[in-house]
Amino acid sequence: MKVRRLLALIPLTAAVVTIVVGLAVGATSISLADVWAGLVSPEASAAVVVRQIRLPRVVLAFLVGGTLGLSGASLQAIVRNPLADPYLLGLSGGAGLGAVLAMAVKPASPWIVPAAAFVGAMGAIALVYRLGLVAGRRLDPRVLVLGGVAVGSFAAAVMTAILTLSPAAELRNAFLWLLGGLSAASWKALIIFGAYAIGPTILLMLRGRDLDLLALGEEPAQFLGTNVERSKRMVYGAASLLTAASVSVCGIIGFVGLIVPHLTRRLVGPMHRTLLPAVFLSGGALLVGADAIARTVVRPIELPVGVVTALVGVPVFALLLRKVSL
Amino acid sequence: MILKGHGLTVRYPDAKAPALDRVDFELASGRLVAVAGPNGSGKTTLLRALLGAVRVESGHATLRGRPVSDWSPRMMAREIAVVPQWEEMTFPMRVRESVMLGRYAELGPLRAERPIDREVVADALHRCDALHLQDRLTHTLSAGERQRVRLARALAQTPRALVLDEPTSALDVRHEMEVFELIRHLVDDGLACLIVTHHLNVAARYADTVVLLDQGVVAASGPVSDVLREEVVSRVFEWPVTVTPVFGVPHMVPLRPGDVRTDPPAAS
Repeated sequence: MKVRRLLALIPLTAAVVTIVVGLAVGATSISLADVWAGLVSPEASAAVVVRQIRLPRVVLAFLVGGTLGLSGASLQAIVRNPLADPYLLGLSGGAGLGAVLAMAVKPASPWIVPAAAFVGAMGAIALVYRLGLVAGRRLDPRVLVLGGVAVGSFAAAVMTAILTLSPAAELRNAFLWLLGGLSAASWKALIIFGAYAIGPTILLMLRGRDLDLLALGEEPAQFLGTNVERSKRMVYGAASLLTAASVSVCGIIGFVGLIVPHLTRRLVGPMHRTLLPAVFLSGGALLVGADAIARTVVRPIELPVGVVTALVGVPVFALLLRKVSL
Repeated sequence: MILKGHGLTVRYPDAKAPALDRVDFELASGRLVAVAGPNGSGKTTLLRALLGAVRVESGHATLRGRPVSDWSPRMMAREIAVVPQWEEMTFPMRVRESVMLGRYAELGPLRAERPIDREVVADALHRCDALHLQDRLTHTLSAGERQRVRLARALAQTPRALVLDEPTSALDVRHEMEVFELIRHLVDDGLACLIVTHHLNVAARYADTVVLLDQGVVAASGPVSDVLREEVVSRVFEWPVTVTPVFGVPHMVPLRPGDVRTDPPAAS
């Protein structure tokens, strides 16, 4: 038991370390002492970079990574498939399409984009869910993931078509956004994200025990006392809202929601009341770390962070495919 | 009466014949009722109808006098513990954690476990002779151990009634007998128990009454020796059997073509 307690500290440690590193590295490296000076004193030489550029970016990366991990872990429990995540289930694609459509009509307020992304994500998951019901009745987790990939690809195709028809200057930016990038991070983006994400995050965290039961199957869960339909609606809704919020501010970032719950389960076990907070910390740490790599590996050019998570995530996904018996 | 069904009729979508046709059922405290019948005769459907887990076309089921549809899943889980035929093990959890899920309906809004919950879980594990397994991962257990753990989870609900769907179908003789011995003890202590089973001879030894289903209809129901008669069993299962009393309960032996029936041996 003592070993397990120590393992549970790993996500927290990783979160702290990556946040510190994330503040220090970038187009120019800043020493830890200067980062600290910039944080505490507005007159310090690094103050503007640290406070206006790095800090909102690192905090946003952390929250987006955390919520993606949280969505992934929750979705894996309700569809009883360890290969589920917002990206593979098509939620990200649906949210992206919703966001692109909203952006195409140039909305008056930046708050409209996440709402449109939410509608897109809900539409996608509803469609995927229908596809996953074999003979219209029993949910087959394998078919569900295939349906998710299909719906996600379709959404990507429509998005590409829309973006191709838009003016050239906007095109490049939109494509970079689509691939998942945090370069547009700002305090304003952070506020918009936080406003959409805080409710579903708390809701999912409080639903840990229900997820434990739902992972046993819907009928066993009902007999143990869960209101299955209500819990499912709540989890799909919350995961869609979180995905919509993250896609709106930083595009489609895949695989965080897939690999983070896996790695974290190895550290703290499968029970969701402890797993979900740990997943939030680990997901945050992973995305802050991935963003630090994206900013520095081909400096001064920035890679979209979605490229880094895919480069790490796809091999891990392949390993999981070999281990998980579907 | 804890659980009661009257005229239960269930028809699945696209099915011509009803899966359950005007079935009556009663379960009282301290009684062990076995539900038996051929494959597809409606045993699990009856269980679902009684628990409100499937829409009934007509008839009604009541739990402690109130319609089952009036019970929330949470309130129902405090009264009845169900061990379904099958559950998924998507994520390997520990035995203790798995049994703790039985406490779900009793936990507060934050679903945090209290000392009393830990005591109940330990007691349930102890009663099922599974306390030594508590730190094991559920998917590493043998089939017999797994059923004992699932039974412990059901007991952790501190229910009035236990509903078991073929709890021993994957078990060898010893493990099957151990499970039935345990269940019989619980029933003698006042629990009500409905058990769906294929094993007529074991049911005959442990059950107080048997409900024999045939194509969704009750073919016979009542005390064991009234129901498990040669002509009834042969007709329902569409296979000739001979029934001889052993230790005072009917014992069935399926016949092969060409078997010559002999008089029952003297009771030994």
